[in-house]
Amino acid sequence: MAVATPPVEEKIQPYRPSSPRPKSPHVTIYRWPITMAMSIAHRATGAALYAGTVLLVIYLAALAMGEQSFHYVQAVYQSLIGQFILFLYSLAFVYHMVGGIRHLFWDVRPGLMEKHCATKTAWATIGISLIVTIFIWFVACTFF
Amino acid sequence: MTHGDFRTELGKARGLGAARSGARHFWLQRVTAFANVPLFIFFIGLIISLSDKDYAQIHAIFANPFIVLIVALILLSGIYHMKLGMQVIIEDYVHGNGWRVFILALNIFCSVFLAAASALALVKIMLGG
Repeated sequence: MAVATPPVEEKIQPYRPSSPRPKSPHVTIYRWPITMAMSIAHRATGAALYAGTVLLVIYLAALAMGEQSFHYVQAVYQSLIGQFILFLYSLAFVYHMVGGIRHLFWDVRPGLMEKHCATKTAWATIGISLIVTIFIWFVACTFF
Repeated sequence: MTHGDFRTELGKARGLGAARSGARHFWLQRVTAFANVPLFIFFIGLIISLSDKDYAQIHAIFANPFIVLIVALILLSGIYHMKLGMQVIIEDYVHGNGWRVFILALNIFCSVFLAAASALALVKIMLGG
């Protein structure tokens, strides 16, 4: 029987992409859209606020325990590192709140999730959180 | 599959599928988020006003029943929102049944401990202890 065997070379052709560019957006070389970074930051700040709540409960517990323990906690919170951590806490707090309001608007008006609109509100959230946080520390340091 | 049942036999045998509590979780996450906005704006104002006060003044502020009520609501809504959010993070990233259940339980214990400790502190301050 004369059956033509297919040429072997044809079967094991190595993969040669026509262009060196990637076929799909791969995470490691993908330029993060701001909306993606915001989504990650919302979750990260949420987790950080868990630790922030511990700081708040320690403050209240120290206040309840008496003057000595309160002064000790106050000294730690008013130290340079303490103030730096409290600043980060306040920034995460305000950011998560402003971002949360953005999420609540999405729940009632899903059309706002359209990518151009979401990109604008993403930058607005960053700007508003920075301004509000700096304003809070300005008021606390200046008027009180 | 019987009529109207979209679960596969394998899924039923493994006992996997919706726990029928997702809508409640979603809804309470939004309700607490909505409540947190005015509560936390008040909270930020309260914390700012404390920055020039001494121990006796701060103690007197937190002994005011109105402040205690608002701070209790802040802690209740805030800690519940925190518990729900951390639960989602754990469910997303912690795999393996034993470890996952342990961390989920730990999240509940931490949240309840923080709520109970702050409630006890508020009651003690209000009663003048």
